[in-house]
Order: sequence, then C-alpha cells, then structure tokens
Amino acid sequence: MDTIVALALVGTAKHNTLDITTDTPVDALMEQLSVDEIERKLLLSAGTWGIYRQAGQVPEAIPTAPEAAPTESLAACSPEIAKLVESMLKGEHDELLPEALEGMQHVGLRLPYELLPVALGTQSKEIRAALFPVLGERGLWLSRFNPSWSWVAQFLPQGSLPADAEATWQEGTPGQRLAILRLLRASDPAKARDWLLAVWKQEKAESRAALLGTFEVGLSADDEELLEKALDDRAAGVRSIAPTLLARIPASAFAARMRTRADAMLSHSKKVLTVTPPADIDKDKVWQRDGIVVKPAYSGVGERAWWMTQVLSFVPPTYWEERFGMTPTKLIDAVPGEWRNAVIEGWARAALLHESSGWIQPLWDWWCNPKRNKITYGNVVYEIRQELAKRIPQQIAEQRALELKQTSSDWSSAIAELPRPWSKDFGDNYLANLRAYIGSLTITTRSYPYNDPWYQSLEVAAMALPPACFAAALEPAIVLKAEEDDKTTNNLSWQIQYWNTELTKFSEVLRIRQRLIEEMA
Amino acid sequence: MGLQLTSSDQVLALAPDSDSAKNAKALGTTKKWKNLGQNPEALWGECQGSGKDPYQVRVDLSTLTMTCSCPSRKAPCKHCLGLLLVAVDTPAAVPTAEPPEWVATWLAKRAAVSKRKETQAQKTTTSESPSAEQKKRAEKRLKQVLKGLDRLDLWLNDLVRNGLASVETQPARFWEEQAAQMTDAQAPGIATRLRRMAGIPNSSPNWSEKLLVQLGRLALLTHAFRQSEKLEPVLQEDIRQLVGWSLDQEEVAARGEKVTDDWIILGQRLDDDEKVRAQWTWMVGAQTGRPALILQFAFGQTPFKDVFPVGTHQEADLIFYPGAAPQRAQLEARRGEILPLREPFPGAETIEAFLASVAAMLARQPWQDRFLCTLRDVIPICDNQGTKWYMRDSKGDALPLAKGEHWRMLAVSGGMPVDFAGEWDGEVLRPLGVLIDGTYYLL
Repeated sequence: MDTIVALALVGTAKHNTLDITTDTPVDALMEQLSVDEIERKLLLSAGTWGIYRQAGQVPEAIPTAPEAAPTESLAACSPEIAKLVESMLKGEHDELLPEALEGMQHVGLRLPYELLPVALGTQSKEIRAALFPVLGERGLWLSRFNPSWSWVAQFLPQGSLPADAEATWQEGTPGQRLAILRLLRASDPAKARDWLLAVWKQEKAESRAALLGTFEVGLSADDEELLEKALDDRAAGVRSIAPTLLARIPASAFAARMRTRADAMLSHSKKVLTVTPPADIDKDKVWQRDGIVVKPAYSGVGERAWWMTQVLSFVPPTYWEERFGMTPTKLIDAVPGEWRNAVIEGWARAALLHESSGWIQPLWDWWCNPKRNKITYGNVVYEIRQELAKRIPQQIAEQRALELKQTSSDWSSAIAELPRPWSKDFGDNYLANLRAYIGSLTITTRSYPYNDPWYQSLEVAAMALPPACFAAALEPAIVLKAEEDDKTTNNLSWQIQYWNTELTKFSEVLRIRQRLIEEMA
Repeated sequence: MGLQLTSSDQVLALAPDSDSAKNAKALGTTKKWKNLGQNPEALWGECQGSGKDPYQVRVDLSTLTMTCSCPSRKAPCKHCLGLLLVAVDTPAAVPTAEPPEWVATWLAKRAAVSKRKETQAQKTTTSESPSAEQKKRAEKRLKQVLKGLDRLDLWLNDLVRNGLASVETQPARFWEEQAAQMTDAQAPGIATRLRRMAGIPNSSPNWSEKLLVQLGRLALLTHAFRQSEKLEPVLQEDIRQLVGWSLDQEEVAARGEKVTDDWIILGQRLDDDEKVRAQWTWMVGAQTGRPALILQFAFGQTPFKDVFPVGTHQEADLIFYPGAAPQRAQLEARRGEILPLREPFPGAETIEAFLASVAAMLARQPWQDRFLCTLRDVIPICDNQGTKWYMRDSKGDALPLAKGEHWRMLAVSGGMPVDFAGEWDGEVLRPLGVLIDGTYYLL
C-alpha cells in the first residue's frame, strides 16, 4: 500500500512505472473490475484497501493492567455535601472550603470519586492540605497517574519511612522526594543531610530551596555547615531560607554575628533604652550575605529602620530579657518613640520565629493599639497582628476585640484576625450588637456603607460565627428597611441596597454552613 | 410515572448550549420557584424572572417536552432546565398535586394534537403510486446527479494525476468549492464527505494515506452508484442515501424495519458548527442488542423534535432506515415510561468480538465509518502520564481512546472493570458513558 500512497502523493503524471498493487487480496478484487484509467484504478484500490484494513483491524496488546485502587475505609459523603463542595471547588463560596473539608475529615467522610479530578487540580496549598484527608484510597491511587497531582505524596502519613524510600528519593516526583526527605529528617537528620548533600549540586534552584526547607525538622548544630554554604548559593530562594534556619541554631556563627550587630543597636543604661540603627550597610556585603535585604520591602519605611528590623528579627527576644534584666512588657514600653515601630516589628518577627511564648501577649497588646502607639498602618500591621493573634488564647483575644469596638473604628479588621469559630458568647454579643445597630441605623446622603465597620464585619462574621449562633443569626433575617414615606428614600436606595445585598450574602453563607453541618451530623 | 431522571448531569445534557446549562444551574434552587408540583404526567412550576408575572414552566414527562412562557428562543430554555434540576436535586420540594388550570389545558391540548396526528398517519399510509410529474422530477434529478458525479470523478482523477502533495497547501475553499458543486448537483451526501476531507491534510503524520483512502472510498461510491442495478436492493438504498437522496419520515415508516425494544440511550453528540445543528443520539436495544443512531436536525435555536435524555431507557418503536446494515433510525412511538439506566446494557464480551461485528457490518455496507461500541468488563488504562489512553478487555486486548482528558472515567473506575459505551470511528474510541454499580456516568 505504501507504494500506492507514494505514487498518489507525487502524482501519476510524473511516473513511468505504474504498478497499482497493495499486496493484499484487494488486488485480486481489482482484477475483476474492468477499469482502464490508471488514476481511477489507484483510487478504487486505495478505497477498497481502506475498508479491507478497517475490517481486519487488530487490537493493541496491553498484557498487564495496573493494580486497581484499594478498598476504601472511609464512607463517601452525601450527594448534598458533594454538590456543595463541588461548587466551592469551582470557586463559588470557596472561602468555606477549608471548613467543609475539615468537617468531612472530622466525621470520617471522603469525596465521591467523580469529584477527585477537580479536587486534585487544586492549586492552593492551604486547600490541598485540607483535601488530602478526604481524598480516600481512590484519590491517592488516582494521583499517581498525573504528574501535576504529585503534591498528594507530600501529605502521606509522617512517621515510618517506607521501605522503598531511597528509590523514591532517587526517582520520585518533586513532591514525593520532598515528603521522603521530611520523613527522614524526623528519624535520622544526619542521613537526610547526607542524601541532600550528595545531590545538592545537580538539583534545580527551586527544589534546592524546597528540600532545604525540610531542615526545620530535626534542626541542630550539625546542620550549620551546609546552611552556611547555602548563604552563598546562586539562587535567591535558597539564600533567603538559610538565615531563618541558622538563626534557630543558638550556637551558630550566624546567630553570634546577628547578636553582635544587634548589640550595637540596642543599649540600656540609667533606665534608658537607646536605639542606634546602623548608618550604612551597603558597603558591607557581609550583612547581605546573612540575608539582610538593602532595599525596604514596603514603602514608608526608612532604610536604617528596615535594616535594624531585619537584624532584630533574627535574634531571640529572650536574649534582651537576659541582657537588660527586663520583662518583655517593660522592654516594649522602654523603646523610644522615633524607632519604636522598627524595633517592635523586629521583636515581633523574632518572637514568631523563635516561638518565644512570653512575648506573644505583650507584643499583641501593643499591636492592638495602633492609635495609642502611633503605629503606621499597612498590611504589615495586619500580618503581624494576625500571626500573633493565632497564638493568643481565644477568650483573651475576643475580650480585646470587644474593647477595641468601643475605642477604634478599625475593629472590623481586628475581629477578622480572631481565631475561628468564635465562642458562642462572642457570637451572641456580636449578633445582638449588629441587630441593635441595623435597627437604629439612619442613612444619610453622606453615609457610605463600605466605610462602616459593621458593614465590613459581615463577611468575616458569616465565616466565623459558631454553629451555636446560626439559629439566632438567621431568624429573623436581619434587613435594613427603608422608611416608606421618607422622601429621601429614593436617593438613598443605593445605600440600602448595598446593605441588604451584604446582609443577604451574610445569611446565604450561614445557610450553606448550616446545611454542611446538618449533612455531616 | 413521574420524573425518572436521576442526576443533574442528565438534565444539563439536555441544554442547547453551555450558557443555558450555566444559567439553568442558577435557577436550580427551590428559592427561585413558586407553586411547584407534579403528577404522573407532568411537572410544573412558576419562576420569577425579570418581568412582572412569573414564567410558567411545564414538562410533559412521557416525552420530556417542555414549554415556558418566557420569551427566550432557546429550547429548552433555562427555566425548563432549572425546573428539572429542582425536581432532580430536591424532589421533596415538588409535591404531588392536581395540575393547575394552565397545566391541565396544555396537557389536554397535547393529547388532542397527538391523536389528530395518529389519525392523519393512518390516512396517509394508504400510499398512492407516484404521479407522472413526480416521475419526471425524479428522472431529472438522477440525470443531474450523474452529471455531477462525472465531473467529480474527473476531479478525483486530476488530484491523483497531479499528486496529493499539492493538496497540502490548499485552503479550505478548495474543498468547499467542490462540495458546493455537489450540492448544486443534488448530491449533498457527497458534499458532506468532501467537506470532512478538508480537515485531513496535515492533521496527522499519515494524513496522505488517510486522505487517499477517503478519496478512494468516494470513488467506490460513485462506482457503485453507476452499477447499482447489479447490487442487492437494500444496498441500493444505502448508496442512494449516501449520495444524498434523503428519505422523509413517511418513506422511512413505509420501507424501514420497525423494531420494538427497550431502548437504552447511551450517549449524545451535538454538531453545531454550521447553521443547522445536528444531534447524534446512540442507543442500544436491551433485548435485541441492536445499536441505533438517531440523527436530528434543527435550524438555529429551534428545538430538536424529540428529547432523548442520556442514561435512561424507554420502551419504544424505532424504525430503521432501509439499508444493508441498518443503523440510523427514527422514533415512531414511545411505549413505556422513561426510566433511569441501572442495569447492564448489551455489549461485546471482548474487543475481538466487537471488531468482528464491525467487520461484519462493513461487509454488508462498506461506507460506514461510525459504530456504537459497547463493551462489558473493560478497564480504562492511563498510559504515559495521561497522554495515552486505552480501554482494555480481560484478555489484554486494547483500543485507543480519543485524545482528551479521561480522568473522570479513571476516577470512577478505580482501575476495575466497567461496562463501557463509546463511539468507534475505526481509529479511536470516543467515550460516551460507563456503568458502574448501577450508576451510569456520562462522559
């Protein structure tokens, strides 16, 4: 047949020898047709051959099928839950996804098989972590077939190292290798370090950074040598991860260098804390080698303050307690005005890095009083405050949020940082206040809903109210009513509409959460 | 009987386009509806739209014929689909009730119309012999077609004489012009084949072989048409249809074979790249095991005449178009209720057996190029990180799947045997659905 195809491609006009044979029984059939024209004969042969081949098609052989998925130990969630989770996975109220998935995990349910491809396609790290426990055996099985689903492997149960760990380390996907190294760090940090050292040079920058990140498990002075080397790495990602690890090795040369730098910045004599930020570090590449970034990462911050904050963020805050013989609260109060933000931000970051529990609440108290403490606003404040809030006992945090409501117009962002779900007391309090507020709200031409902290708080409250408050929140529905006979109503209708749209959304989110909880009961 | 659809997928498969499906989903919640109700014959509800009065939506459950009082020209419109979604997802929200007046009158009117049609049909079956004028028209068309085919054959010969390599760079117009000539010569079947060939050059490494085979099959068709008196009458029917003589419903009813069976609706495909939308519906008879293809055409937004919800089955009379290996059919009458597909459907036990049945069909009608493929206990195989896919039977034989993401099928199968339905084009299988533990998953 190949000769016929070749002949047809070039054209019969350009050929002298015209042999129309397919070397199949088709040729005998063609003999029976009295066709003289060579082109016609070629076409009819080709057509007949096509049918001949199609009729005689032989299947491909796949001698062994891959192993089937193991039996499930978890039950599939109800179709109702599946529908809700599916729409969340597709972006509708996806803010509720972590709660829904954690709820499923809590009652021992898994996703139905149909949803697995969508679920495995999730990009968010946070959602992936919540998805893993509800993937079921089928999800783990399925994830092996698609390289972009290899993230699943890194969530595989910690603890015992699988027997084929070394093979996985050599040949696995990036996600699998990361998981294996993390496991090995927990049981045998030295061996894990040796494994990484052996391949260090040929790894891509991206994976060097990720793999080095596992050193936070089982970190010790023995890791210092490799981490020091990482400070000189060509990849910025690797260079930025090494200092946060080195800082946590108290006896490391890095920690000592940072302490020396910090000592020059803070001194205490005659009950006065003196702050002396570095005048210039640009010439000194040694600072930069230790991960100090020259250009401020956010606007409104001076270079000197920025350098100081970074240095202080590596030094354990307990160091200052010992050095100056002062409590955290006293130290915070003692920082002079001009450098207050920079120093306390450095301490806050250090307290988070070194998990200095004695510092969390005093620092958080300070960050919660932006007005009194003249904190310049910015995302940094929210970010730090939120991180600190996670480590504060719920009751204390909620108490503080209530106090803030009296004094600050910014309380809506403070309640956004509270641990979720709220306590029933706090939820009840919020709802009672909300009803009272909405009931007495008078809208004027100059009221802009989106500047109203109550308006701003609705989205957060819908997510954070505990199930015990659902009934109270939904019944009767909170709505903003327009005065019928008010002539200005028409002019204000957009504001009322804004409020009611947000209030409807509030009820809608609560209703979805309620349905999820009912379905999982 | 009541509504027998069981999944929202089945409902959404009835949507005329993806926008309708999306909008219908938004209406698929009880909040949007008032006066919902159903009885064994119908399903109804009122949906508040942008207008003052709510839209009245009703569904005749025996045929899934739906109407809505909204001005949308899409059929079924989003309100109809939304109502079905509500009924499928939250059946408790649709109580059994006496139909309100606006539903009852509609049902009565439909019953009257269908009765009138029946009596009319009885009248027309007494066929008259063709008039002299009809005969003359037929002769004229035959002459015209023969003239067209002569020109086509010359063109085919020229292609081969000058070499197919030159076709590689030809624009789509090259094929379109030839197709238009065939339409003018009243051979639209040939025109369609020519249009399909425009997609072959450069589409695969062995495109030249594929194109040559298609051109060759076309040549075989013109050859057979000229010699058709030598062929058996049923094959003559096929050849006339392939060239472009269409049969109207009455002709099919008069000459085709009527098969009563419990027809299982396995899959559907919509071609809407041209002005005319074409819907392909694949079915298999539960008792006879016969595959059937129902082709429906509709202009623009007009709805298809019959509604075939995928993943259901229903006792019905189909009439197969006359031919040597009948496959295409039309719906004559629905007999039973529409029921969800839960039981295994007829299928080949091995891939070898399926390919043998394809060979047998080709032996009877060599121009067929699409076949329904139903296989029992086959495993989807994902190879080469999802770039190659197969269905594999218990003997280890496998057929390749069409390019695409078959992850959903792999997920529901878990690497265990499933009952599979697909469309086979001689090279790849295009999955339509799989049945696993009594659930039919549309693919």
